[in-house]
Amino acid sequence: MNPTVDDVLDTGYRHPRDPVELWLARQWQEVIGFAVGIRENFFELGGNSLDAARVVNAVLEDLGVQLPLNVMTEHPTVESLAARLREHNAQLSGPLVEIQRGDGTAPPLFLVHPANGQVGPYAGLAQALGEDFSVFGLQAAGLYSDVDPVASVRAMAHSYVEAVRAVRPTGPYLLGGCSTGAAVAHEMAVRLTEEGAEVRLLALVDAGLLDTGPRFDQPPGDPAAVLDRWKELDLVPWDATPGFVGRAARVWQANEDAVRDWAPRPYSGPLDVLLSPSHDRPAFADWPSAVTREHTPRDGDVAGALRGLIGGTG
Amino acid sequence: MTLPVHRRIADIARAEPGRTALIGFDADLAEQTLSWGELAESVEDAAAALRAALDPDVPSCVVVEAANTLGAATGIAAALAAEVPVFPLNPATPAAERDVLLGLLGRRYGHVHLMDVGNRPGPAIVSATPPSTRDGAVAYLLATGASTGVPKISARPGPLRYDPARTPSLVIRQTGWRTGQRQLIVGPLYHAAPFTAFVDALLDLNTVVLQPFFAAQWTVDLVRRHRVEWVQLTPTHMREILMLADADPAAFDSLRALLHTAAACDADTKRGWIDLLGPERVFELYGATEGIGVTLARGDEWLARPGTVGRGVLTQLRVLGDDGAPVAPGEAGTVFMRTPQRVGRSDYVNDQLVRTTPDGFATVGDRGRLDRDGYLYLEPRDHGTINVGGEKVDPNEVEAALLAHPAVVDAVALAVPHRTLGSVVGVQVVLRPEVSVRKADLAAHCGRRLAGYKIPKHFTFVDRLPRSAAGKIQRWRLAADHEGGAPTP
Repeated sequence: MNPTVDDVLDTGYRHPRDPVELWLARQWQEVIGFAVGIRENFFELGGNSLDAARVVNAVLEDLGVQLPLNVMTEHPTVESLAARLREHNAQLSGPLVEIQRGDGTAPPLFLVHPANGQVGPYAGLAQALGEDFSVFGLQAAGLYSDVDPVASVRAMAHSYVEAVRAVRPTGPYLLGGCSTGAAVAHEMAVRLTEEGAEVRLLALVDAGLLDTGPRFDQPPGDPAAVLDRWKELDLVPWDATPGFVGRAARVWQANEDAVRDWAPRPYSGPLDVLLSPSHDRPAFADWPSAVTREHTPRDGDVAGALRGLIGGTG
Repeated sequence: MTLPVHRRIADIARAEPGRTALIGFDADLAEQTLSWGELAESVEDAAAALRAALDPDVPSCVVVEAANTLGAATGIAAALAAEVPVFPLNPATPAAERDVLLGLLGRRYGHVHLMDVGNRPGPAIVSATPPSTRDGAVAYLLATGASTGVPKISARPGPLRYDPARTPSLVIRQTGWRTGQRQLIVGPLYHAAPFTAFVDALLDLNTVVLQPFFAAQWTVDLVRRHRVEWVQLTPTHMREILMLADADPAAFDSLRALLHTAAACDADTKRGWIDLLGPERVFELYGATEGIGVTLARGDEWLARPGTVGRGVLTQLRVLGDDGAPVAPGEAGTVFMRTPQRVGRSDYVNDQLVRTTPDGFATVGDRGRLDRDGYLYLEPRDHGTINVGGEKVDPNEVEAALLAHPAVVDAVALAVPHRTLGSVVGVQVVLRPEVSVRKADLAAHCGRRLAGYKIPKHFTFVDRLPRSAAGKIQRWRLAADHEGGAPTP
């Protein structure tokens, strides 16, 4: 890429970081016509007062909150408006998160959360994939409501398959994930094929190829210090609380435990693995499948590789 | 009997100080009311400050950031009362476009003052070029993009006078306007139609409700709550309101007339409103900002001749061919109008004039045809201008903005059909090889250079654009491929 051009092209896209931001970013995309980062100004991108009224109306219909009609003037970014709606994260804490509504020509891609349980980072991938692709995220339980995290890959796969079937009762299915999500997606693919459904794509992505959001290397000692660090790294909203760190830690621990206690069953379909040239070979590259195809995306372009796989099969 | 603006306002305030003059909303959308007594006091105060700030030896004008607020409305009234030419500016105008507009004002005025939020004039912006000396006072100046979308400024000769027989004009009187009525202003005060409706309302004892921005349900609620009698809407407003689940006819009981102007109204929307209000309460007016003549069509006339914009009111119409000779009824040509109501001759500040024939027929370049009974039908404009809910967008301006982006090699802007705005800007863009860029980045880049409604809503990345050997975009070749069929004019 031309370096002088590169400087200008990066206007600092920042992906949504929690369910409310994800939900708002998708509403924006629908009214403005293209995907936006959480710090982009609605009106400077061409959003007008009619578009703003639609967002306000969607908030009323989906979240049951009547915002003042001029709320977008005061809160013209996803980040800022989301801060007003943060308490509604719990309403959006079901496993299935619609990240991007495509034009329906390809089946939707379901991406399972990594060990932190979050799917916000997949929004950037969805956008890079192209706005004609529909993308759903599957997020872990226990991050935004007081339910217990699920510490079993099988149990996660069971509830995620149900959630997927609810929006798409019959296949074909496109599944993907990284880190814990690789294990859960593999288990989902096994389960779906056992049930007689067609899984057209199972793509497991090396976590080193994606920015996956907040992470722990060990159970946190001081949640407040962790929170400060995350804020410094811009991984969580500014109004996130130490309580969130506590929940995130329990979710992370549950995910770690789940994968440790799980062994992959044989999968009768083809498995596509996306590898990072600079990382150790991930365990999933050797999980049982009918055939495993290895890909090392050029320039780390995961979206380009996925597009090729979906386009080639869809 | 005619009266200067300040006298008229003072007379009303003396006669009916407690009567409501303006109803508006603050930043938190709390309702505020101003009586005629209070309005007269604020106007007098601001007008005195304005007069004191001006250099009497230099032709000067004042710019008011014209959001639909009590403050902006008072500022406009004060400038009219002080008889200082006033230019209502869209507060959201990007810096680059603002500079162009201030530059245009500077060609005529040595000093341009910006009114602050407290309606106090700021220091003079001194024009770099000596102002052209022209005769005749000016009441107000309006931005108009009549033919190309490139900003132009049109001047209304002044000073403004209240004349009971002519305020508002006889045309507007025919649309159910009554002295002392309750009027809702929905469109922004920096647009010609809402601005002139406000000026007439000010002189004709109206109670004006200023809606700070359009939201369909809110407009309906305001009509119902304030028993609004007269309202002017754009076809976009009309479409949005019809799409509401409960566009309840009872909400409009108080309404004597709906007047619509600006962009051509599609037949479904027109019929929807005629169904809602009955044909006698729906009026359509065609007339350019330049004020060279108007046509008016009431709903029943339109039902009898669907698509017409009506007959001339105090206006003679002629449709002339390219040779300057009148064409036969039913044939298309350029629409010329002549009216004795034309006050002097309004002209463009930036040296572009309305085209006028020796016998006084003038045109802004619209094309149309007349039937045998003198009803006018407009033809789609043919110069590529994109009409976004009544706002004119010059595709060249959008293309130039895109080409300033380092990743863009070539670009073309086209109208793309839109459910309520009629059309929006869509672009096809050729990027440098091996470069990818987010659509939002391109939009943000345009947003730094263009007003909001000019920012493209649809981006398509293509490998090349059809250009003729001379390099001219062959729009007809794009039209056929464009999603949704031919772009709307």
